[in-house]
Amino acid sequence: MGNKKNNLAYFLKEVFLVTKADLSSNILSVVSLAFIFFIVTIVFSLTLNLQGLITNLKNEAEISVFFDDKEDIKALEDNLLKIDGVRGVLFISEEEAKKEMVETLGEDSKIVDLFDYNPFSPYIEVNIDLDKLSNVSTDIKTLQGVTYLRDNKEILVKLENLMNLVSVFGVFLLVAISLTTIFVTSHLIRQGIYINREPIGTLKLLGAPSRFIFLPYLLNGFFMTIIAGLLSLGITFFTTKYAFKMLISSLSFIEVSSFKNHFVILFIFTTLLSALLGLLGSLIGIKSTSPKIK
Amino acid sequence: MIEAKNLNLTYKDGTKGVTDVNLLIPKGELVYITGPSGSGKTSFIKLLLGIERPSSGSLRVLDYSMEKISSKELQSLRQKIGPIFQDFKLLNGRSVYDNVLVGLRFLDYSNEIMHELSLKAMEKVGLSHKIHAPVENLSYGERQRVAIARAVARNPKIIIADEPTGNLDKKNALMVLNLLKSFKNKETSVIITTHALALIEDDLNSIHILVEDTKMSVRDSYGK
Repeated sequence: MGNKKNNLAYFLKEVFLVTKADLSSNILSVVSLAFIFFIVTIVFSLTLNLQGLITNLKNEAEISVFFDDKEDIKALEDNLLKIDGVRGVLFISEEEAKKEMVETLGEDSKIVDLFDYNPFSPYIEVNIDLDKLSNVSTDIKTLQGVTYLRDNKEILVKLENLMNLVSVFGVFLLVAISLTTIFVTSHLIRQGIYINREPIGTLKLLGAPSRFIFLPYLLNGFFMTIIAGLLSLGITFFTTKYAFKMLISSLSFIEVSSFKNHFVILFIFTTLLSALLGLLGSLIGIKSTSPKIK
Repeated sequence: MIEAKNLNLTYKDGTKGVTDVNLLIPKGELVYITGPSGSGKTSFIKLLLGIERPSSGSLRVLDYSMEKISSKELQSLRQKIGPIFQDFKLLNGRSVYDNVLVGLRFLDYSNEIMHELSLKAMEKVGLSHKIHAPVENLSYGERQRVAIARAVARNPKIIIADEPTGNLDKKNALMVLNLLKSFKNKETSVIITTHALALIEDDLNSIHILVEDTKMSVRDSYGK
């Protein structure tokens, strides 16, 4: 393709001219694509948060064992440790239980102060291997003095179901959005080629190879989707910072990692996705139009 | 270098382009193709550039058989031709320099050589002082000279100028013809179509092809 180093500046200049020739369509397409990618980044971010939440819950899988007041705590702890799947035990006194709840509730903890007495009971926190949850629960229930057992199994199952639902929805969304992006980009490129059909025809008459003629159009689609992807990240960042944060703060008992923690993953994902879809859309646009230009 | 045998071109709508053309043009010649408008001059140019394919007969241009030329070969052939179109086909929004350089960018030249060839071509056509001017700001004559510079910059084997005198007065037409003639050498042929017979009839060191009603005849060669 002639002198590649010198032609790089030429191609970039051509991209600018191609974009300028149909500026309003290019801007509208970028904005539309940015909102499309915004939906992807939000769903992807949600999936990442749910995954993180489930992993945290799994790593901190615990069973709270409540017992008869008269029971020998030390003996009960020893028996608990003998059960297969129990990693460790920790006695939580009434005062520690109250303190934990105050910390969890945050500003809502004032409700605890309404009581004249400490309403919390002491319990033993049993750290377990989550895969053995069913067996461990059954074994603990058989121990003498155990009155009640609380685990997070139901929450975990519900969260995992939600996560599966989000993942399936995410895949469908990704396919739909990929097709839309390819369609929008290819249409933009076709339009660009049609507008520039005369200079393209001239280059063909001068003997320019197709890759030389159409590279600026390929780059145009590529840059448009990259810009749209970056714009969507910006929108996601501000949306997450203000709107999403407000929503999460109302659910104080759930620890959701912030957008910032996932920013690098989101950045790589969105940039690669937009670049790939931009290239695909541009190629389809070029392939479907270039033979028609004589 | 150009050889036509029983060459015919009929367009899809049945209109005749050229009829039964037989001619041989060796390399390094100055060739005038003359005849009234609509006689078939531009059709012949279209065949030479591969814009149209022969309907029957054969046409060889620089060792390429035009009736069965592949797109790759056509690309290669066009790189060896310097076309100057009637409407110039310049790239608007670009400077004079960019328009001249664009014909070299996809050939295997280094930066320095491309730059040098462009400057030299612009100098030959007298546009050195306007290299950065946008082509849409130039006069008709200057735009034509940009087209000439773009055609000659890459040292083509054939320069083809389609009606370069069409919209010019006699003085400017002669100036353009002389400029084009100056690019003829041992390796480069110059083919000029024109209907201004009066401007070329005294030019003896050339081949004159007369086109009448799509039929061509070599009327004059070196004054014979």
